[in-house]
Amino acid sequence: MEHSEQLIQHKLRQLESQPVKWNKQATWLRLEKPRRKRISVFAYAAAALVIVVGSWVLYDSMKFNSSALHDRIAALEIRLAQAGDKLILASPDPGRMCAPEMAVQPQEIQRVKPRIKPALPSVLIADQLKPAIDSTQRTTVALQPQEQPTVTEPTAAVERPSIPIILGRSQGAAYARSKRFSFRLILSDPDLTEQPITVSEVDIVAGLKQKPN
Amino acid sequence: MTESELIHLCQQASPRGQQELFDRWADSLYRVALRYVKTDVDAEDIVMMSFTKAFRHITSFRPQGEGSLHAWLRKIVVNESLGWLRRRHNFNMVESLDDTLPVPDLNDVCHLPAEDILRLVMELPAGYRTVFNLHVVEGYSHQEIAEQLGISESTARTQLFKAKAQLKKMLIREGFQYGT
Repeated sequence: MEHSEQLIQHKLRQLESQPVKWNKQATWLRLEKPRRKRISVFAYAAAALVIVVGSWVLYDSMKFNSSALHDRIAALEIRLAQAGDKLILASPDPGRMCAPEMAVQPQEIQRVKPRIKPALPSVLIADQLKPAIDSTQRTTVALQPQEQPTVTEPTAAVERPSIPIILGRSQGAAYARSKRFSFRLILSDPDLTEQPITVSEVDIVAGLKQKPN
Repeated sequence: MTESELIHLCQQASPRGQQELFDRWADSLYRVALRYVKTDVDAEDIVMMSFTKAFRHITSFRPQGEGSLHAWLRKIVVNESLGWLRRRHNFNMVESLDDTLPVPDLNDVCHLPAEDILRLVMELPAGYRTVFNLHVVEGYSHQEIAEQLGISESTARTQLFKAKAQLKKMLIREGFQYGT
């Protein structure tokens, strides 16, 4: 390289070390921007990961709680089965909601028993009602001689619908503690429909009542 | 902060080290880029791309004494500038030069102040200016210039010859007559 060229090189390189006005800060920000973008991508990825892990932990916890609840219900059923000698379990499924449907009190049995009112016997009609009717007719004729006497036929009593007693959980629990009463689990909607108590059920309950402990 | 500490920080991708490196060398590298591409915006782009490349590859940089980092950064900027020019300018022009012509000397030019020399160089056409910068300022041989620009060595020589002739012509036109 010639001397003149070396001199030019030296001058121009010295000039490079001089301060210059340019968009230095803007260039630095542009340089940093992709890095910030990368950081924000990492932040989003981390947040998504946290959400996924959190959801998984929550799901696992709920699953564990559910299985624990099933175990507790099963254990409770076993205890109830052992405690109550007449406990009727309709289904082993512990997940179903169960509650004692009915417990019949002795006085209720007495109230429920005479369900159908029998028709009055013909002897009673002949002996007691006839004179009463005749006297009434006589009085009526005396007051209204033009009217014909009316004879009222006795009618059979209408069967009254029985009212089943459905007990709640707290009451059911109280009965469950007592070995003297049995209850059965309600498993389906048909079990919740009101049905009249049949004589055989009343007999069963009455028999339980009389059974010594 | 010493250069080795700065290199160490940048190799660990420390934002503080990277900012320090940028603050320390960005001005001079901007001037280097500006000598090749002429416009401010393009020079800023080249500086940005050069630093991006430097931050990415600094782990492979092996320091060889004080000043080696700046030389390495400068080389990156020059290469980026040449890449930018290659995309916009065709250097592969076949030019023949009569070997009997006298080589124009730069004695008149070298006595000018640095700012005037720079202004004259910036007025050269892109091909002349690039070869002049590479040969005179960066110190590349004609063979290296030919490899860098993808041209023949004779084309590189011709370009340099014409650049010098043009500078002399401009100097005469502007009334600078040193040494006469």
